[in-house]
Amino acid sequence: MAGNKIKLQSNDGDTFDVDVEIAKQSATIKTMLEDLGMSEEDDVIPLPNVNSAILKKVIQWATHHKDDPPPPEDDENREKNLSDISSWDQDFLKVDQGTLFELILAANYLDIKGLLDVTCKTVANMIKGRTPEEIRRQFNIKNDFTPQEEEQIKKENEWCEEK
Amino acid sequence: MSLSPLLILPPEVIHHIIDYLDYEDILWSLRYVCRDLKEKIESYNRYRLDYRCIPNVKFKKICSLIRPENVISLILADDDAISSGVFLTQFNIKDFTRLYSLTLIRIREKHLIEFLQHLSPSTKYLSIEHQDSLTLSHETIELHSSILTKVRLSQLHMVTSNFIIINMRWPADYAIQNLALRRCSCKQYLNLLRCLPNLHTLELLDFSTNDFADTFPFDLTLASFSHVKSLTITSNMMLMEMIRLVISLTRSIHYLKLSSLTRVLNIQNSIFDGSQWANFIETNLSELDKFEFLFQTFHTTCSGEALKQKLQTFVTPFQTSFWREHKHWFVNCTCIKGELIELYSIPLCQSNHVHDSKDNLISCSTLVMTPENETAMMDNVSHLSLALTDIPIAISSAQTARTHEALYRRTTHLRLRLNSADYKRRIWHLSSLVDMAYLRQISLSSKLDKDSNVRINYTVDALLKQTVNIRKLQISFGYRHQYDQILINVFPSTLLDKIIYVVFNTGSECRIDFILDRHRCSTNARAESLYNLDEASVSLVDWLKVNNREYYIY
Repeated sequence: MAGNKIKLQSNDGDTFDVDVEIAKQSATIKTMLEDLGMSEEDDVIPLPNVNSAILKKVIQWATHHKDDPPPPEDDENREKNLSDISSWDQDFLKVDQGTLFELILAANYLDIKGLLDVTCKTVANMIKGRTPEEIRRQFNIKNDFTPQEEEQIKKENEWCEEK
Repeated sequence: MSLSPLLILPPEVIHHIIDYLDYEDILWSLRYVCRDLKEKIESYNRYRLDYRCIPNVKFKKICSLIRPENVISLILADDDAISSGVFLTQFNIKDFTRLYSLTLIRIREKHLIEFLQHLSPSTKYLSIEHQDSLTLSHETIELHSSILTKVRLSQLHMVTSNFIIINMRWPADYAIQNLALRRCSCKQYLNLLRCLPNLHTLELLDFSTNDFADTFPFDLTLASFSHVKSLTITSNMMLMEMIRLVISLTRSIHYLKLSSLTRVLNIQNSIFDGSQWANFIETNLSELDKFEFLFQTFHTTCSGEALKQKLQTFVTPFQTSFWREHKHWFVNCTCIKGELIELYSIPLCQSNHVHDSKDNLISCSTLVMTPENETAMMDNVSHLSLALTDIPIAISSAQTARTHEALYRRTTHLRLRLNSADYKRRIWHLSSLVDMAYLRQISLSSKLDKDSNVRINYTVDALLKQTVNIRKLQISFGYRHQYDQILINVFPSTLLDKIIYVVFNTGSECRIDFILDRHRCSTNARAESLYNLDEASVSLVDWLKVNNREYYIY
């Protein structure tokens, strides 16, 4: 199988030749190839939820991580660590917020666990230790609570004022 | 305003992000950003709660905001603010129906029974560190065995006595994959290998070799248990021939970690002998790809140049192509204060480390010691003990070359002894040794004298100004046993997200109000194990009552 290529097509029509083993980091593509009986010789695999620019980034990430060990089973229940983002991934994710969130959506759709983990960690780092107002500013979110709800929130946080 | 990209994410991805946040970020920040996020947080069901870092006031809020069935991991320690007793006044363990991981650290027997009796069948990871296992009743010990038949654990970590391990009955073909036991004997080790066919990772801490000769008679034909892939053994006084036999039972291991304090009369054929290890690994452990070790021995015979030469004789067998080129394994050998010799793989494989000033160390290594290598060598050190006198005031050339990189860049827990009259200067140089942004907990200890209060106050202020992620600060005067102490949980109004525990010896005459009043603290106290309330304890309790502070006494 090593060296075999498949064609991935983005939603804006661009196709990319990718090593099968690299593409199989996506559980979605792996399922298509294995369970649904598709083969490398088949026509291109359309990826209707991913545009060309993002697909290019995803392939770049998957190529760099092609020799990584497979993610552990039962990972959902493991301790989560925010600080273990490799320097390569940190550089790779120095992108604007729009690209970062498109990468998250692509990783989720393609079911690439490693990429989803590292992008979610990056967003979590942008949230950690910030106040609600700082998070709103960071992500351009409107405060849509009613004055009554705001009052309720203030009450719920009253312990902070306790002396 | 266009819709924020964060709000476009589906709930399962928001939940994935939340997995990396702690309860404070979730409940007191993200939940109050907007309605959409609040709604997505309501359906989040993978809370991990470490009650060692949760203060009493927040505990009550957590009780009202998080339903037990949405918690998958719990950590409780009776030494901390929310003890198992406090926890059980608010929760019924039966309601934690999706509990995946439970860690109980030195909790009282009656509460331990409660947890074990009602453990959720979904639990896969159980960690128990017993307070004093010798005093546990026969019924409680039996309960440990019955857990194994009731719950299909995949990981069990027990810090307990040999007494309990002997009484553990493992069901046939038990599916456990990871097991860590303290004070396991050779016979029990052999038994575990035989009856746990899925065992993948085994950690034997304080491994006992007293029954070595009975368990491994010289004519024993050894089987190899290929299911074990990772083996860790810490033990004192292990001889090379013992280790060889014990490890020969697990020839398919990929990972081996050994730690031992032993007496070395002669390097040859001792566990310090690199050529012996190279032969043994080549012959018996063909799949081994990571070998970490720390071997220690006491030394009194030489100093100066002779000592340096002696260290070099330890290191020389590790300079062959087997170690450096084939395996890429490097070692360091250090003599500390002219007394203790440590031979260890790089990076140092211990999470707990006592820092010594360079003036007290003589080292040689198979790795060229660049500033980067020196720093990387300490990357496994999460718990560091340090005396204030060991904080350098003058910046060395190596530190300059490191360009601000601290020697300990992954340390989360710092134990600092305030033993220097020059504390005001030294405390500001701590960042030359420790990455302050990484620190989560600091324990300060100081002798009790007329200057204690001033010294502690200055140090606390200086530390809190230099750190950003501290969640727990513990202060103790003197070094007495924990049962003689009162634990105070302090919430300075200016540092709302920090917890400060002040540990006072009950026998001390030290006043507590200086720090509490100074910070105008909202204080909650938990006073346990006060079998005899002495005068200082009574004063403390009175003070708490008069100042309308919440406290618990058991």
